[in-house]
Amino acid sequence: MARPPLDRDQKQPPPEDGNTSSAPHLCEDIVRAILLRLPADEPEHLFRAASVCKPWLSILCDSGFRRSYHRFHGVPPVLGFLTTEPRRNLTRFVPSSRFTPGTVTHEDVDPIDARHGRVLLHTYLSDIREDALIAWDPIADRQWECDHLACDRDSFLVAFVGSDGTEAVTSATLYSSATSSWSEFSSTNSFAHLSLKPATLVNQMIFYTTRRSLGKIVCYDYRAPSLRIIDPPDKVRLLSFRDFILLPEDGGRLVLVTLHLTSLDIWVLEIGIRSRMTAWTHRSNVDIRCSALSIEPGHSGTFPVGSCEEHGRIYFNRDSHDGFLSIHFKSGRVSVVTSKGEFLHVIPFTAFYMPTTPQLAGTYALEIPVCANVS
Amino acid sequence: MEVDKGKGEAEETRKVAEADRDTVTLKSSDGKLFEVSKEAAARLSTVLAGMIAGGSIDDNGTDLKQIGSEALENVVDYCNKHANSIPSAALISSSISFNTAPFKEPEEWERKFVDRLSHDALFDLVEAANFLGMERLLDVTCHKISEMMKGKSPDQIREVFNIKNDYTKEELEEIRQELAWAFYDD
Repeated sequence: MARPPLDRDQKQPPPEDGNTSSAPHLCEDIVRAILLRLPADEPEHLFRAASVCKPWLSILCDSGFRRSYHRFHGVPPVLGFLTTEPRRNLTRFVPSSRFTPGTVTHEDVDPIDARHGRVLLHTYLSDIREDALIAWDPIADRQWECDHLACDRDSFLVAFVGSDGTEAVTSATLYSSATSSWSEFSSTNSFAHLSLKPATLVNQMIFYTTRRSLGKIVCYDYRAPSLRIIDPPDKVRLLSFRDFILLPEDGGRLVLVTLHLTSLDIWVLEIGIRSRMTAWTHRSNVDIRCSALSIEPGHSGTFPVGSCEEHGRIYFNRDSHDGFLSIHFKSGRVSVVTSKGEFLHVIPFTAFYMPTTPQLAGTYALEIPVCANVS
Repeated sequence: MEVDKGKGEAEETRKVAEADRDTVTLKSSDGKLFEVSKEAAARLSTVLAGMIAGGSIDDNGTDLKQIGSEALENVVDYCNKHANSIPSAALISSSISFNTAPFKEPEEWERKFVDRLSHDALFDLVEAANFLGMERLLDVTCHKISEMMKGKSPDQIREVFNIKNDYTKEELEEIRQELAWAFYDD
C-alpha cells in the first residue's frame, strides 16, 4: 500500500473551524516512532490510531511497521483465553486485558486453536450443516464458515484427524490447496479419543494428545503419509495421571511437560528427518514456586489445561472451581490467571499486532494454521 | 610557499584553540545563540557529532536554521542535564557513537523534563531531536506523546496532532461498529 506523505513539505491544508491547535504536522518518521510506542498489552490504542486518518492507517497496516512493533514490544501479549465450560456446550472468551470481543460466548462449539489473531472453532450444530469449521477474528468480531478453499493467496495444507469409536479406527487425511484435493486416508487400528488441546507441529509431523483416560499421543506424518499412536514416557503414565502438555521446540524437538509432586517434569523427543524419532529423554525437573498458592501438585484434580508456546507458559486448573494458574515452565514462576470457575481446557489468544479493519485496509488474507483436529 | 606555511600554521592554531574549547555555540533559526557542552553534544546527537568531527562548527554560532530558539534551548538544556546525570566514569568511556540499545523507560528526570513542556514546545522538540539525530531524546519525547494518546478519542487525537479527518462518516461508522470494544469511553 502506498504511504501517503505526512511531511512538512507537503503540509495539509490549514485546519477548519474548531481545530485550534497550532502543533506542527509531524513527519511520517516521527509519527511512526510515536505509534511504535503505543503499549502492546492495550491494543485499543492501535485501533483508535488507525481511525484517526488514512495516512496513519497505512502506517499501521504496513508490514514494516508490524515487524518493528514486534521487535520493539517482543512476543505479543496474551489478550485472553478461550475456554470451554464443563458440561455445557459453550466456548467463552475470558479476557486478560481490556480487550473483550463483541461475542463473548459461542454456543455449541469447541475451540480448536488460536493463531495469528484468528480462532478456529468446531461447531456441531450449525444452521448450515451439522459439522462445520468456523474461523473467528475476535478483534473485528467477524467469523467465516471455513472451507479453507479461499483462505490464502499462498498454498496451504489442512490436516484432518478423527477417530471412530464403533469401528475402533483412527484416520487422518490432508487437504492441499495446490491440488484442491484430499489425500488418501492414513489409518491405524485403534481408537484414540482426541483431546481438545491444540495440535503441535514439529518437523512436518503433527502431534495430538488424546483424552486423559487414554493418555496417548497420535502422530500424523503428513509427508509420508503415516499415522501412529505412541506412548508418553513410562514414568509419566505411572505418576502423573496421564496428564501432559506437548510443546514444539526449535531444532525439531517435541517437549512434553507434566506435573509431578511439586515440580514440572520435562521430557524431550527428537524428531529427525523422515519422522525418525528417538526415545523419550528426561531433560529436567523445574521446582514450582507456589508456596503462597493452594495448588496441590500431583493431585488428580490439578492437571494441565493448556499452554502458550510463545510465552513458555503452561496453564493448570485448580481444584474446587478456583480458576486456573499460569506456570512459566523454564523458571517455575506461578501466577493466577483467574481465581473463579472450572476450566478443563484453555487456549490463549495473543494479539497479532495487526489492526483488522478489513473494509478499509483491504481484505486481509485469512491466516489459519494447517492443523485442524476434529474428534 | 612561506605564506602558505604561515596560513597553515594559523589554521592549525585556530583548530587547536577550537579543539581546546569544551563548548560549542549553536544558533537558532531566529538568531539566538546557545552554548552546549561539546562532549554531551557529540555523544547525544549524531548530527552535531558529525559536525564537530568534520570541523564545521562555527565559533560565532553554528546555524541550525530548522530549529527555533525555544526548541534549541530545550535541546541544549537536555544535553547539559544529561551530561550531569551520568557518572564521570561513564563519560570517560563513552564514545560519540550512538547507543542503539532497545528502549529503556525514561528516567525520572527525563520524565520531568518533558512533562513541564507545553504541547507545542514538545512537538517542536521532537522535530528538533529528529533533525539532530538525538536518538535518546527522540525516544523520550515520542514516548511522552504516545502516552498523551492514551484515553483519547480519535477526535481528540486529531486535535492533538492537528490532523484533518479524511474518513467519510460511513467509513468511521463502519470502524466503530467493527471495533466497538476499542472505542467505548474510558
